[in-house]
Amino acid sequence: MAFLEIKSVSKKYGEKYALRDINLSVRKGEILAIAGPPGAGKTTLLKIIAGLIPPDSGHIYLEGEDITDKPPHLRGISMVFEIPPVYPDRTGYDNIAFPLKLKKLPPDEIRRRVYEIAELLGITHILDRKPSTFSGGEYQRVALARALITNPSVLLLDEPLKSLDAKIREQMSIWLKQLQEKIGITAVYTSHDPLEALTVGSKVAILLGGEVRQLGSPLDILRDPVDLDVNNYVNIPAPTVIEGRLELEEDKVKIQLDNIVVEKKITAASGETPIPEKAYVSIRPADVKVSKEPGPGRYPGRVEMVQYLGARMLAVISADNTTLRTIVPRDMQLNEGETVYVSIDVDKVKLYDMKTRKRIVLW
Amino acid sequence: MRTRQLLLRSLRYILIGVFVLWILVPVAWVVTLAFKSYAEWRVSYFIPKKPTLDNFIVLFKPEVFTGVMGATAIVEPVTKPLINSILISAFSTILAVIIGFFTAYGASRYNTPGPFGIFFTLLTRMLPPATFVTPIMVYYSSLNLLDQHFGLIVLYSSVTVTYGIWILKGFIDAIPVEWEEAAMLEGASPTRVLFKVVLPLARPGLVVSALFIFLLNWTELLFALVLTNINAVTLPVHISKYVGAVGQLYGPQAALALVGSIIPVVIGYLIQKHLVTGFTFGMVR
Amino acid sequence: MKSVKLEVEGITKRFGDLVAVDNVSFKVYEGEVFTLLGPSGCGKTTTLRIISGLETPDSGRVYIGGRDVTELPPQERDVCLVFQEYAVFPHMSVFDNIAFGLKVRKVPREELTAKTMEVAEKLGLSELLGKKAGGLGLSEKQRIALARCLAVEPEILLLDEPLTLADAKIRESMRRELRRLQRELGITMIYVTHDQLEAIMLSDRIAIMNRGKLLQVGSPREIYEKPETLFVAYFIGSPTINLVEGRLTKVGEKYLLTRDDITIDVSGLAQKFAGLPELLDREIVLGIRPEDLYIAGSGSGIFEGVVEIIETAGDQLVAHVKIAKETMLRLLIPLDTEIRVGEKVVVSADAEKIHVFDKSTEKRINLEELHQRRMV
Repeated sequence: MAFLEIKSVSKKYGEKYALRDINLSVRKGEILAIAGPPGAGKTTLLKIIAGLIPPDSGHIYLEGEDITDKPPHLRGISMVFEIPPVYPDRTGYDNIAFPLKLKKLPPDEIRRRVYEIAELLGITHILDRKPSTFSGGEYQRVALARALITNPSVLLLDEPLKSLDAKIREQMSIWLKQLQEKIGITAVYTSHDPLEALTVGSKVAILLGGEVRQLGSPLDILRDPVDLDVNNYVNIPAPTVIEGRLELEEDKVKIQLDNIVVEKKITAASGETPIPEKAYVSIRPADVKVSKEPGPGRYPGRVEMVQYLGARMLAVISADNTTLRTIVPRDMQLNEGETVYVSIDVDKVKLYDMKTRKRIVLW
Repeated sequence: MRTRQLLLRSLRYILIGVFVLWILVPVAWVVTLAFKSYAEWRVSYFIPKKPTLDNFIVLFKPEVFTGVMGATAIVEPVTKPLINSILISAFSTILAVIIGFFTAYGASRYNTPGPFGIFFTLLTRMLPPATFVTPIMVYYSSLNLLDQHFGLIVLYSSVTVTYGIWILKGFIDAIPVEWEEAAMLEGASPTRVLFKVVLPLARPGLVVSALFIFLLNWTELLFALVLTNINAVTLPVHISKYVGAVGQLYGPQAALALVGSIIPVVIGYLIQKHLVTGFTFGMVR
Repeated sequence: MKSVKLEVEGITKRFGDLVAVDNVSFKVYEGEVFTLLGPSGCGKTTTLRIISGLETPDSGRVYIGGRDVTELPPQERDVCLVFQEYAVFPHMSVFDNIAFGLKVRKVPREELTAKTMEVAEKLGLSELLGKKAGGLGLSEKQRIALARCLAVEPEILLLDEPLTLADAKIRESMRRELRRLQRELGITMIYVTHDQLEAIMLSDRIAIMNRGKLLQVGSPREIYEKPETLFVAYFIGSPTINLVEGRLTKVGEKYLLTRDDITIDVSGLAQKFAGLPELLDREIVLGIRPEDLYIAGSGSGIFEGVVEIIETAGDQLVAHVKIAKETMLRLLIPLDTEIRVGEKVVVSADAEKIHVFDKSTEKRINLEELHQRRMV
């Protein structure tokens, strides 16, 4: 049963939809990550869940209870903001204790709980210090401690890592996920970075233009994006997307990309889907094999650019009119201008409808 | 190259010197004047030949020196106007800052009473005060508020509240709304958020606006002159009363100016720390 | 041989007790992109500000084009700095923004117009010249900020984390555009960033800094494949390099790595250690990049372990495999690998690509060099 449920929530600013008919549900102890570019409506959605902004229509349910009209301070939901409120003139201890002081708990209990949470988050060393001495990661953890100390039923995290350094962001995202699993809290997390969302979330929602385009496990989303926009958004490095002509030949589908032709056998069952004449063909760089030798199914191409990425390299290869982005191992010797042979792993190729941009599933 | 830099540098110091003199000379003049005897009030040199405390004594015991300084009327001792000024300035400042804070909060967060409404509060300060002295005097006389402390307090606070609103709105605007939202989610009701989060964070703003308003009240002459007579006379009015047959009694006026500036200077000194934080509030993060 | 455009010689800068830049020296050659990379507070921005003249070093010299500029104010150094916040004046038109530096330099009107148009053309801003800069998007603002600097034709273009404000997707395209422009114009560029991937993608050479110290200078490949210190190895690369520490001992034919009560059998890397007795009984740290580990068929591996966590990393998966108590290895494997949490796996590695560091000095132990010395 859903612990937190968002049912057909919409919000308009003026004539423009910030959120349109959002339906999401989060199970107890799950972390839902919402990924979307800036302006997709992520913050608005979190604030609606928290009760800071009323939705125009739709309902929010927490443990089956309709909380849409409940004021925020009675909902028992905590939120960590992108630039979290940490009072500069108070110590780490006073900052974390603040919500409990608001509740007028006995000093002994406040003390016990502050130390408990500080221990859990590994920040006991900064309890006596002022925020100006905190590092970026410590600052975020103090904010997190403050959000967790009230034992919220749901924790909302609004791009909590956005202002951190790349390296710390990488570590914190993994740390956060492990912490969430350890304390078993139900959480909703947002990020503009699809990679981060897919790392943190046990379930991920892709929010584009105020609509949830896809909801699923990180692997499902990466392996099967439902439409072209999701496909382009979640795939990093960016896939090559080109128009291709489709042709059905007995039990085979021929996909023609200018001079490159790839074929795929389809089964009878999938053959029921009508095959359009043209479609967007999306090829991920990792699904193009580059070889120095010619061979069956390999097309000659010219290396236009090689970009060293550390773990591997990105090579841009033009085969006549088709420009393919490919991933090659970092120790492959590739020179710009050189002729190489590319083959496309047809099983991994994705097709999208030219009009609706929806995924066409043929195999 | 070198000479040009030297020239520029000396020019800079000359300009600074002129500016400092411009500001300090009148102050120094008042200070020395307060210690000059009757004979030296109108002389053109700075340092009194025979420094005297007569000007200060006459403030508190005017009857002793009647005649000596050519005073035609017995001026009341300064004690009562001093207390009046403190009471009236303090109460109207507190009132203006409190009302200003709540209004500014509403204006900043909920956009009440709308952009024009907020602008309108400034509008009232754009008219020369002299234009409404007479109407107010007539009102006050019919309301029996003439020469009453309460009358001045109401008037002062309603005039200065505008400044309170505008200064505090700037400070509250600078507090990220997330701070309030976080506290709300941490279990604070909107009212508690206002008192536990916004109020402490806006403290520098409260201090700055309070000092500013206090100074305005403390030095206000026009309305006090017209609306008070004996009972609620304030310091600026009292200063204007030191007039003798030969004209202004500069000595006691200067002495009173010194005495009168002690309180704002002390207050200013005490809240110096907050003033600094006040002006750098935009750096919060 | 390219000429030296900038030389920084032993610069040190203190802020109170903090040594922000600690005796840093490097050279930048004409036409290259040189990146100062490091975490927040490592001194990279201070170094850049010293080069630009916004800060004066406590000691050390700065030479631009062979001229000692240490004492010169910023405007006489012939450098231009693009700030993180793009100092684009919102109230001015795009034209006036780009022409700003030229106006300040009192360039004659006709030349100013011509130059501005030329730079605008190169950066694809020609259409926008009449517009107010305030209403434009982030990527346009970045181009305006760049154009403003390019218009005055500085000897060196300095950039202080110019892409941090953009989001992941836009950053990728802006990065590409920046690189293209730099190549086209052949301008010397010094770039500051905390993002290692950005540094790798943009730079001809990278200088890694930490706590005010310069740790290593080299091409992206050198830095990535031959990190000189533990910090460099840790900082470069994502997911982070696997670091396994312990005392290396040889028991019979077996090589063991021991720390506290944990013992890991590393005999699989025997060829790496063989014939190098100086490695034995020494506290070392093994550095293995996640992409250099793979899941092997049974038997032929180096480590054995249980999959604890599987996460996605773009078009790949990261499997966390527990190989011993408190010892986890991260493996970068293809997205469609069939693997489950709890599964027992055999992990193999490309022994050639494993790095060895001394634990106490945190410096790289150059095994090839040791081998060579043995041979001689």
